[in-house]
Order: sequence, then C-alpha cells, then structure tokens
Amino acid sequence: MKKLLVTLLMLAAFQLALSSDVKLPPITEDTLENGLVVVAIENHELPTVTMRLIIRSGSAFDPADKAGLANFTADMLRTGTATRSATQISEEIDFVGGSLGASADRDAINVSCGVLLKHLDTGLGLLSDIILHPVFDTTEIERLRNQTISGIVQAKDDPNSLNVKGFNKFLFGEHPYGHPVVGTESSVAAVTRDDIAKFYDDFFHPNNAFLVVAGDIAPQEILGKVNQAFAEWKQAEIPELIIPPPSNPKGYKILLINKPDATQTQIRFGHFGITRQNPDYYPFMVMNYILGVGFTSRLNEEVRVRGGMTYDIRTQNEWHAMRGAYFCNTFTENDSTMSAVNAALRVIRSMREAEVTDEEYTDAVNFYSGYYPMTLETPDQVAAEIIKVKLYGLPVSYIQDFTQNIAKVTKADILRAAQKYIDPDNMVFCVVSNADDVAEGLKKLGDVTVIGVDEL
Amino acid sequence: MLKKFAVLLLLLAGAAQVGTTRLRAGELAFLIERHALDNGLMVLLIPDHSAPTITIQVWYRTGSKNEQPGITGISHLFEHMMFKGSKKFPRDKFDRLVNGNGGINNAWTAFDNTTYYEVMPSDKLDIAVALEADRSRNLQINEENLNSERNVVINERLWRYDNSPFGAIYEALYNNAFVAHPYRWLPIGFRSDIDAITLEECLGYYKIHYAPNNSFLVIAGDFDPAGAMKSVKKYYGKIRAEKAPPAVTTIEPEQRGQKRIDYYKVAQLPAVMAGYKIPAGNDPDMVPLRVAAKVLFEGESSRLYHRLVYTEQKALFVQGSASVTEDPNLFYVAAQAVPGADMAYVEKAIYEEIDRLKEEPISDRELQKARNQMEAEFIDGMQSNEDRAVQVGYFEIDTGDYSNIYSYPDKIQAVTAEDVMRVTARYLDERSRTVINLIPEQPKAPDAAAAGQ
Repeated sequence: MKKLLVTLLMLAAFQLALSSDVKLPPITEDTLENGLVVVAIENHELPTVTMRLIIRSGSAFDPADKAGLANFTADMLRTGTATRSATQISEEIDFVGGSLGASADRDAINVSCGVLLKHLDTGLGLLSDIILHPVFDTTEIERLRNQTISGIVQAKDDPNSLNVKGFNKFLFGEHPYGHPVVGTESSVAAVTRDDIAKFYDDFFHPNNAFLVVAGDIAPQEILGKVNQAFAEWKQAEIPELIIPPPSNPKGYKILLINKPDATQTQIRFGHFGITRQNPDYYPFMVMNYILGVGFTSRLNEEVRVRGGMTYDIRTQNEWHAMRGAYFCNTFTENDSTMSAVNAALRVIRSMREAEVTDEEYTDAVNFYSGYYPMTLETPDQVAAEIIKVKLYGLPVSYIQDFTQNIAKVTKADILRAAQKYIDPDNMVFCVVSNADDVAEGLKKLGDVTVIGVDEL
Repeated sequence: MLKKFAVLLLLLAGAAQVGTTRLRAGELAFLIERHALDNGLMVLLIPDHSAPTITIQVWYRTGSKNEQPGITGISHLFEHMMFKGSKKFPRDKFDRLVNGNGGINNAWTAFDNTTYYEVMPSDKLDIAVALEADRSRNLQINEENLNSERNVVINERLWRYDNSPFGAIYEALYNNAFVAHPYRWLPIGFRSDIDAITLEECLGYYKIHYAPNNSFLVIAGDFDPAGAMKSVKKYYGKIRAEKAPPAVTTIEPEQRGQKRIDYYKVAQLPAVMAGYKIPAGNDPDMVPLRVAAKVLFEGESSRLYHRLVYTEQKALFVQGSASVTEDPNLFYVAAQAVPGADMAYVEKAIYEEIDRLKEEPISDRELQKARNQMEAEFIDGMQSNEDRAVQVGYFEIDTGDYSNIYSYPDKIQAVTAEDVMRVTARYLDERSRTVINLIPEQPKAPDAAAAGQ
C-alpha cells in the first residue's frame, strides 16, 4: 500500500500524464435553408432535451444612452407573442415542468428551453414562438421596466455586485463592456418600445444566430422539427459593431465605494486581459491556474491558507469577443484590507520574476489534462462548450485538441505570458467598504476616488 | 461479512395526462449497489460508464444538529480543518494528488451531515479512496492552522450572513423559530463560538463523529464495482468502529403562537421571511407539502408569483419551499417589496394564498403541473454523477434510508388535492409561524436628522 502510493507520487511529480481522450457524444451540424445553423448533440442517458438559441449580439450592442437594451429585449421575449399572452406562456411551460427564458451577456443573447423528451413539441413550439413572434406590448414593457429597476436598486445591498459594477465602469470607461448588462436605473428608464423593436429587427435573424439541441434526440427527427418551427425566419443584413479599444490604465486608479455599514471589504483589481484568439491562450491559461485558480494556487496559499485573511481569492480573465478584464478578486475584514491587497500584489509580481517550479508546472498541466474531459459529462455541458466554439469562432478541433495544446505549454511560455500579460504597475482598483476604515490605507497605494452606493 | 444486494432503479416517467398513473418503465435505470464493511461503513455504488469520470463522496452523519451552545459551528470549522493534511498525506501532497491528477475536491456542512467529495478522472478512484480513508482517522492539526482557518471561517460568515440582508434574516429565522432543537443555529455557528472553539474540542469532535460506523460512501460514475470495493476494503477495512455518538434526543416543543421579530438592518428594500414548523424528512406528509410549495412558488404561473410579482407588481420576488431534513424543519417563505410598495400588504397576500390552499382543493391541472415540475426536477437532478450521488446521499440522510429514492417518483404521482388541503391546514398554521420582518435602516444615522427621511 505504501509503495504503491509512493510510486503514484513520483509519477505525479516527474511525468506529464498522457493527455486524456475527450469522449464526446455524436454531434451533427446542419444549416437550414434560411441559414440557421443547427447543432444536435445526441445523448440518450436521460429523457431530457435542452435547446439553446444564441443571437450573436449582446449588451456590447446597446446604444451609449440605452445601456441594458439587449437585456431588456431578451426579457421581453417571454412577455407575449402574436398568439400567446405572458400568462399563457408561463402556464404552458410550467405545466410541463420545463424551463424557458432569455438572457443577455456582453456578446450574445441566449434563449433557452429545457423539457423532458415527452414534452419536446411543447418546448420547441414555445421557444420558436417567443423568438419569431414577440409583440412587445407596452403594458408588459412598463411592468418589466419596474421589475428591472427594482432589481438594480436591490443589488446595491450586495457588496460584490457593487464591486463588479464600479470596477467595470472605472476600467472600461465609455467602452460598452463598461456598463452593466442589465443597465442602470436611468438608462433602463429611458428605453422605449421603438428601441426594443429596433434591437429585435436589427439582430434577431437566422444569419446572426445558431441553435444547439442536446439530449435524448434523433438528429434527423429534430432537424425536421426545427426546420418546420423556424422556416419562416428571414435573413437580413446585420449592423456591424465598430468600437475603438479602450485605453490601458496608467499607474494605480482606485475607486472606493463607501458602504458605511460594511464590516468586510470587497476588492477587485486588474487591467485588460486577452481574448481566446490570442496565440498565447494556452500559456496564459496555465499561468493563470498557477497564480489564482483553485485551491492550490499561489494566491490561495498565501492569502487564505497562510494568511487566514479571506474565504476566497482568485484571478480571472473574462473571455469575451473583445478584450475583457483580467482581475484579482477577494474579500477580507476591513482592518486586513491593506495586508490582503499587498500580499496579493506580491504574489502577482512573483509570477513575472522567475519560472514556475517543476511541481507547479506539472500539476497545472496534469490538472487540465484530467479535468477538461470531465467537464463534458452531461449534454448541457457539451452544449455550453459547443456554444463557446461557435460564438467565439474557435477552431472545430478546439475541444478534441484542448488537452494536447495545454501539454505543449512550457515553463518558459508561462513566464513569457506572465511578463507580457500581467502589468502590476498599471491597474484599476475597486474597493467596497466603510471608507472610514480603509481610505487612509488605500491612499498610500494611489489616487482614491470615493463615491456612495447611489453614485455609481 | 459483506452484505450485497443490487436493485434496479426504475424511475418511472409520470403521467402525461391527468388520471393516468404510469407511462412506460425504464426511462431511467440506474443500478445502486449497497455494500457494508464489518466496521459499519456503508458503501453505495452507482456505476455509469458514459463519461470518463468518477465522484466519490464521504457522508459523515454529523452536522450542526450534533453541536451544543458554546461550540456551535464546530462541524463546519472542523470541515475546514479536514483539509490540513496527515502524516502520510501532508496538506500540499493531498491537494497535489487531487488537482495534479485532474480532479477537484470540496466539502459542505449542513444541519445533519458533513460531506466531502472528489471528482476525478475514472482511473483515479483508488487515490481518492486512499486520501479519504486516511484523513478520516489520521488528520494532524495544531493551534496554528486552527487559528488561521478560524479567520477564514470568520470571513466566510461575514460574507454569507453579516454583510447580506437575506443571509442575516435567514439566520434570524432559525434563531427565533426553534427554542430547543439544535436547528436553532445555522451550520456556520455563532460568531463568539467560532472565536472560542479549541483544538481539544476539535479533536474530541473528530474522534466521535468521523468513525466508519458514523459515515457512508457514495461512489458514482465510470468504475468497476469489484475494483472499487477492493480499494474501499484496502483503505477502510482496518479502521475500527467507534462507540456510536450520542443521539440528538431534543424534540422541539410545540409552538403555540406566532413569533414576529422586527429586524433592523441597512437594506434598500423591506423584506419578510417566515417559517412554519413541518415534520421530519421521512414523514409521508412531506411530499404533499412539497406539492403545496410548487403551487405557491414554482414558475411564473405559480399562485404567488403570478399575483404579487406579475399582476399586482408589489413584490420583487417571492419564493419558498419545504425544507427537508432528518428532524422537523421549516416551510419557509421569503419576499421583498418593490420600491414604494407596502410590505405589510405583500405579507398579508402571502398568508391569504396559503389559507386558500387549506380551504379550496387545487385544480386537477395545478396538481398535474406540480407533479410534472417535481418529476422534471428529479430527473434533472440525475444528470451528472455528482448530482446523482448527492440525491442518493440526501435520501439516506433525510429519510433514514437511501432506497426511498426508488419510491419517490411514485409518491409524487400519488399526491391528491385532498392531501394538499390536509397538510397545509395542519402545518401552515399561524400559530407555528415565525416571521422576520426586515426593516431597512440608514447607515450611521443615530440623530433625528435621518429619521424623517
């Protein structure tokens, strides 16, 4: 027993595991006559079907003074069609125990429906109806507007939500990734029915969309049903989005959101990250894993395990169509705010100073080799990965080659990625806390702007 | 002596139409094999070879229910200490053997259980079993790592409860609803207890509660059952059974009148959280109570969402459910008012809709809708190996026998409108209700200037 384990330890330490094979269910892709691409993922383990229609336009397409329009339009889909009221739609989908909804993110709108196989026709009927025939009733618009604004007000109680909002506004400025997907109280108040109808007319077309169907399906049969449901959908020219890239932060800019009742500080700091198209995608992934992903990361070891200063600390790159943020996020008691920030900064700098250790390197590569295939267990997980590939224009081989590409990364690549993509001297900070407790300390780090929770 | 039996789990699809009881057999078929070691460790195996992954979960039959005032939160704090390593597998080796082999691990603590898990590539089962068996008995902890982990847990508490209005009133609900039973504190524990728990108390807790006869394993996924049992016997076989931990004998006395607490906290909007006393997880009345919760809260067509959020636009959200645990828990309701709406009206409307369930039978269609929702929820909860293992584990904890999972789909279909009337009249009674009324206050405004608003 002892010997076996020693052998295993040695293997883990000195040898890269062979890349595991990704085991995918049968996947077919077809294009309807109107140009709608349909991907079918066949998995018969459970009698369920998930359908996700992706519109390739999200909140980045919101007009400057209408932040939240994409999200508002998505939310309106369920509120009535030419033949069904909001209440009828709710009643029909609830009756079969299914889910039906639409939501926006920065790059896309995701309209999805999940049902048991025996209710597939009900689900597909509702999904296609809300996509093809929404009416944008004005009473429903006002109802949704009140609901959305109430949600924005409520989110001021959540320190993390304030932190995300403040950080994005400070980092991205006027760039459309700078505003919340849901919008602000004033921008949501300004959205009109014409705005919603125009957003819908501009972007809801089969040539700006694709559909992924996953679960207990026969691909040919589902294709026939989808074809029938979406045949009337017409192509159109899609407005292009041309946005100048935002400028990088210079020095340290600190936004302190004063929440006088806070006994814990939320901290988020960083700068711009990279997109999936970046040739250093894989070295960056491995570098970031060692720095701030998971329980064995350098940041977790230093700030949580050794320092006892937080429950959670991580670094994260936002993988979007355009460059998102690359940031570090944690929370700590007010009086340990500066110790946590300074410890995190030291650790982040260490990534640029020397190559990672053999152990760190081997563990990170082996982690992805073993873990990635496991993330493709359920049909919903496979669907999510396929959506990533299609939405972000990744090579078809992305999924199959992922672990091999990770295994090609070297220690030198990791150091190069750290030096190239981490800039510890030029960053934006957002801190949510009681200003009385933390402002003095933060001023030692750089220029501090203090605002109240209502001033965001 | 190895006890073994296997039962084919046939989870039947429910009725598509009102009135039919059964559609077709075999839509869902998972095999659950039960084994037991001489030291009392039960092992449940759920093989499924469709994806190259395995989940191993170790369920200790201990949680905050097994604590006393003075050491509340020890189950959860100790859960954190379980990651501190042993002589054979020091902390960094442990993490490297999991993450460095492509796996992930974590744990959670609840009222009745503390559960640890690894999700690993299928060929790594043996390592995961070795690690779990080792730390169930050979953990090495000291003052230094206890104190640093104590601070981690304090930060977790500040984050989940003290700096969150809903976290705060959720805790207040349990603190006030229960007077005797240990469900009156949450698994996170009281702050002063987290501060005071000693190393000796942790070690004492560990010895009693982390014995093989007080735990069970659930292993799900791509493995060979014989091979898995070989690993389990190899690593767990020599561990001795311990004297059974003291049973929790406290029975919550009957509540004979509503308790209503005004709770002041900085918040944007007023809110209410209420809880009614309901029976234990193995009580047959729990299934119709869950149906009642679906009728009231599930989906936009549910009675309370449709009335308060959609039609009247008074509430930002309204939600609730029947909490299923080993001992009697609460049927809870929570709602928050939209700006300008009268919270008292929202609260009154919730009670009106609850009372209506006691007085009029729900329609055939509403009953069938609730059954369909519960069927879909149950099947969706079987998607991944991890989900399946969690469902099976909780049937064991909540109902005292994992094999109750077999009959659950039929029990859902068997609920009648009369059952729903009967159980709501019996349990959702104002006398057994505890209400936490969140009253928003301004930060740091002790003087009169802010009072007028």
